[in-house]
Amino acid sequence: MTTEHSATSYECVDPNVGEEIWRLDIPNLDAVLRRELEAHVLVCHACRLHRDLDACARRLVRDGEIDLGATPAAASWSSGLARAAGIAATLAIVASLVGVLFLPPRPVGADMAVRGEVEARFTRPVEGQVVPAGACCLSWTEVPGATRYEVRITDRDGDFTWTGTTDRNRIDLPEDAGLTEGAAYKAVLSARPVDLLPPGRTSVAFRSGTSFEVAAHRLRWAQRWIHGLGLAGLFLLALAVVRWRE
Amino acid sequence: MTLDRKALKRDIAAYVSGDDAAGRGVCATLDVEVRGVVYAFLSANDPDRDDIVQDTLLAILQYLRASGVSPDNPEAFAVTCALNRCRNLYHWRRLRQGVDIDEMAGRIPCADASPLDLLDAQETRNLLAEALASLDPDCRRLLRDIYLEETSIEILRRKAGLSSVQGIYHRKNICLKKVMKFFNRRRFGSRYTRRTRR
Repeated sequence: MTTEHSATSYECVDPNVGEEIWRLDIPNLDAVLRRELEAHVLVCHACRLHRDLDACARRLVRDGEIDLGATPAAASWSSGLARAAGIAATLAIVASLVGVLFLPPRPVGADMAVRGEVEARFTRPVEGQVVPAGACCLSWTEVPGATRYEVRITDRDGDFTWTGTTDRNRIDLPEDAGLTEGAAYKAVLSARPVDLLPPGRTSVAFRSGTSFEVAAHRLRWAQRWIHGLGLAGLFLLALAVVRWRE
Repeated sequence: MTLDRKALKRDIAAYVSGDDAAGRGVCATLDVEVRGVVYAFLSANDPDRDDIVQDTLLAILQYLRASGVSPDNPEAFAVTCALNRCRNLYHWRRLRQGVDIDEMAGRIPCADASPLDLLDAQETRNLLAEALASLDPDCRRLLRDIYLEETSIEILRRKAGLSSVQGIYHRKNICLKKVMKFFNRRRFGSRYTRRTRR
């Protein structure tokens, strides 16, 4: 049985002294300190590598074997790319987070019909959305000619009923409306005059949940372009980190 | 066996002062620590294990006499010395796999050799060129001024607006640390893993 060890870089044997070896370049360095630093370089592979690289680079540059002239295009391009990737990543991730938090999510299930699509529909919450158990807001598309709206919310078993009326196309469900965490509800919209909307046609099914469930739902069902933006941001961030580490 | 730190520091101080006999005490105390890490790094049937241990202890004694000072943490100092020698040996063997050992006989460095001596000249040149090319423009400009233009440090200090020349040396040191980091990553690795093959 043989044991292999992957390569690992050299370590300074005494970092407190190793941090000072640059002083060896100072011409009139104190003799005692010089003696200590030179002894350190002899015994420390890491610091000896450092000094040897200095000497080797000096020799190769003076001999013309290495050109330290203009900044190489590849290096500046690479560092510029890393910087651009980092900025783009930040913007993309922030934009996608803003979209997740503030834009309505997609309806749950691409093949589910959105109720009331033809005449009116709920814009908040959307089909299948998880809303906070406390106060929440319902909104819908305006119905031309409507002077008043009525929203009726029931739970699946029909044990809970809440009704609210408004003359705007939104209504705030108060905290004491009594939505139960984890329960499923259905909201039905009707308009005044009553013949503007077919009865029961404009409705939305939704659930109430904890803050975590609300956030998870938003993240899961965010608009696809937001998902794409977020993934692009993460990819650019990974690229920026790799380039930065290089 | 518990390390007797007081006795170790006493022996080191005595050895630095010129007492050769105290060196035996230093070696006897540090032998356990050094042997532990060398035996852990190199395989059980590695023929160079004991040589690395002896080489490390000898290097420590030479350092104590040459520097005239004692390390703040002699055990950590000894362990790191030993590990660097093990790494040197490992790198040499890894970089020369498949090469007829007799052909290299005249060039086989000891574990005490500089890491740069493990590489051939062409590889060193190529790596150094890449490392210098990867530096930021400020570092490249500074090194060009020092290496090629041989601009005096005082002039560089005035151009940089620094109050002392030590600032220039320090900046150069930082640039060289980046070069060293490049070398360590590309040639000598940066992550330690241990694989056992049966």
